[in-house]
Amino acid sequence: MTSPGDDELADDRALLAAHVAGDPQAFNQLVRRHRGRMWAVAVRTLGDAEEASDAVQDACLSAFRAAGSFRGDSQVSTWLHRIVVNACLDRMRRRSVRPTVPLPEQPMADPRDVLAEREVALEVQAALLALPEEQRLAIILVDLQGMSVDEAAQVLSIPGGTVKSRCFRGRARLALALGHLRNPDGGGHVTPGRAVSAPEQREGGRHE
Amino acid sequence: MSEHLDLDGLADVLAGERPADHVRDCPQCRAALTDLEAAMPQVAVALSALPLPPVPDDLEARLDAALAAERGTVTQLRPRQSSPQRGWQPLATAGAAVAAAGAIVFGGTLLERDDRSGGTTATTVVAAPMRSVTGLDYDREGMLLKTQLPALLNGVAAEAAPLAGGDVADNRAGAPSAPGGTGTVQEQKAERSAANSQALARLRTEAGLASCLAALTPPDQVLLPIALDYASFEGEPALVVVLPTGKPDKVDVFVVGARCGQADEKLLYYVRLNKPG
Repeated sequence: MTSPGDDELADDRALLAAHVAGDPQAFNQLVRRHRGRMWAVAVRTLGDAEEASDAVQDACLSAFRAAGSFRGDSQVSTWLHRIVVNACLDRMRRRSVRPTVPLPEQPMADPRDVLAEREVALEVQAALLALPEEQRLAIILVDLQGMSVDEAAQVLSIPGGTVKSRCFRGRARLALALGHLRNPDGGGHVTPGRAVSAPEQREGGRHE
Repeated sequence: MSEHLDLDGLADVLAGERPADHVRDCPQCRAALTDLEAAMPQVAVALSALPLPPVPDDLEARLDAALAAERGTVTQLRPRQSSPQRGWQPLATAGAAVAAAGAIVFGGTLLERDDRSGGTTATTVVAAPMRSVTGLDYDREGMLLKTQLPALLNGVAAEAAPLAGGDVADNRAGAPSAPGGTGTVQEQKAERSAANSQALARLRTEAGLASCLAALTPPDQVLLPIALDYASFEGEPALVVVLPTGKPDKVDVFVVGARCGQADEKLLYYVRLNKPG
């Protein structure tokens, strides 16, 4: 039986193939299907709406040009996510982008709730943006975009174990930054300073 | 001696990516691991509550414009604005009216009258865009355009080649001025500029420019340019049109071919840039 998900995958491939074959509308249609998810990855990675728009535009143009080289060994959406991630990384490295995201207005009954919600969200956003780049990306893809570890591994072109490790390390840092650890000193050996340095080297050596 | 695990080490144990031998034997690390494990659901809740900024209203139109430029085709190029923006809306309204009538006089000085318009069409004087005739050859790398933007917006384009005919007042500044400067490079620039000038003559007429601007904007919102540059793009005669966006710190830059506004018009390049401070 063909599930709706299978239909969508087939449609994505068909649209990409049509674009490569010269259909002038196919690529725009493909972009329309995925722009929401592309935008979400970009804005959460870059933390700035205008930079995110620029990154999505860069990514769309890259995908447009590279469509002919898509080999079909991953889903089209995975391929597009990879291109968006790379566009974001390019921008971050070129401009050292690390602003905070202006949060959207969210109508709620009690203004005090609004303020409290915004405060919490800003705190979480700041903690997320303060994570090392590779941990932030893993958390965005897995925890915020709902990808499986394997799918995120394809997007990031790293082993699944590395994605898993980066997610847990990132979550651990978020727990520390957001004050969710009952004993942040962990008996004197769980400190932010130590968490930042040596383990990153081990991670790289073990998984990549 | 076995060292205690740091935060990343504990996270790796939780992830199952590191052996738990040490934790089994170390009460301190075991307590820290239990603490970290207990915090994970709270982190998940915090992440799930993170709002997602909405997709900008103009993103789709902007992507369409960028893809149209990539294809070199023109169909309703201009990214749509989600709502009228204070400041440019009155000009846009005026622009829409005059574009429909086919006659715009920018500050009354920039453009030639199109004889074919018959002089019977009503004209409206609106703010003049900064205009240049740089003769520069822009490319899709975009760096030259980016570096020239401040000069184009201020009407002090950094480089210019001699114009053939001299029928358009331009803002050339810093143009080569050595007497008898007829070196090969300068001659080539002059030739290129003369050829471009001829090819772009239609876009220096009121009607020609109006039809081009109408192609660059949605039917209900014709915006007036902030700056124009009669130049070339990768060797092809081209007009650079800088248009306002809904955001005060951004401009949209369209590079169009000489037939902009006609049936076989070509969009050569599009980019949204930061407006220089």
